Amino acid sequence: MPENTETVAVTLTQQQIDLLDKIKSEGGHGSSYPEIVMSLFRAYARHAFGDGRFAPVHGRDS
Amino acid sequence: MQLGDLREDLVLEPVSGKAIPLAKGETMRILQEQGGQCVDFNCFSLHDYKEHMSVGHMRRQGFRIAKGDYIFSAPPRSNLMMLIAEMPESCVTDLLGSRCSAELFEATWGVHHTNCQDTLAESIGEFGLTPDDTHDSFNMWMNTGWDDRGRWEIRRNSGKQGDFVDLLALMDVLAVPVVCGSGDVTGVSNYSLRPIRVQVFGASPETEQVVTDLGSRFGGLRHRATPSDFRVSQIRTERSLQKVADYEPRFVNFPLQFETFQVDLTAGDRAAIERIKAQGLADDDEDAIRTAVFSWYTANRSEPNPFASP
Repeated sequence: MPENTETVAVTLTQQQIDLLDKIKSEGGHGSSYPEIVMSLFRAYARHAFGDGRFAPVHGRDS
Repeated sequence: MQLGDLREDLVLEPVSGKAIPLAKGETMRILQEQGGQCVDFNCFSLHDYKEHMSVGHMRRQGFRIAKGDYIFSAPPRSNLMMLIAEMPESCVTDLLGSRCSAELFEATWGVHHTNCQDTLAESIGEFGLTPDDTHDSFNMWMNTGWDDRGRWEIRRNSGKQGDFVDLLALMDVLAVPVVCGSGDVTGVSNYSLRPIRVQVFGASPETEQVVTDLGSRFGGLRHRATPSDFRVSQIRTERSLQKVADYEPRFVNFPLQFETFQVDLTAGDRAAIERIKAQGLADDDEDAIRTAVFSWYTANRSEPNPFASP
């Protein structure tokens, strides 16, 4: 498990949180909002930097 | 698609138009009598003229809609009004050029010239609508092009004699095709003006099935509004505007609620944040995280083109 080095404050609208609740109900990305946020952030980063590009592919990256 | 019986067949001479009611399941065929003629088109709900086609929202399907795309009404109705059931590749469409008008020709050429605004207005007048009720056109056989600033040019009309477009009514509509009046001087109709044939075919079991299927797919959106949902539902009859006493707007989800929480970063997260910022996609750490999260969400959990043909 990578060691945490710092914390950042993130502010979201309730409407954004409503979308995170959908992810929460799917499972697999954590149970708390901070966990879900960082899970999705890392999923984006894998796409964006893993192969050198961010390729939005609907439904491919669960 | 098998259509019903032909029930109306008329030729629109240059420069004229016709407002024609279509029942759900019926099809309007717009046909090039000679080729090369631009056609402008307006569309209203037959039962409430305030619901009409929104070219701006139709652009979400692309600037050049084609077979399988839809004519939508404007929000908050946002209904599928018609389906482009047939359209040849030689019918290049345009959703940017709006409609030509008399003052355009006066300013540009110094003449009183035929134009789509006036032709549409004269056509819908048969149903008691005013010139203000015309709206931006869905332009068929209008071969325009645009540079990266959106400045447009008119290219040679590619319409061929016998080309036809079939528009299937998905609700009861007033469909208004007109012969574009600008084509003899702008080149949009290859420096001539030609007649257009318009035919209406009755519903068939096949067209009715399409209407039913599309209604099943897209009819259930809860946030489409009808006039019964409107807080202000009466159509004004006075032309001048006066403030409504004691009116308080009720904006959606207003006041917006926010929540702030702390997220833990690893060294790898920090590196990713710095790369996102270096790409110009975020101004600070929080912005980078939010941008990444909702870019992922949009790419993976939203429907990019919900009304696309199956």
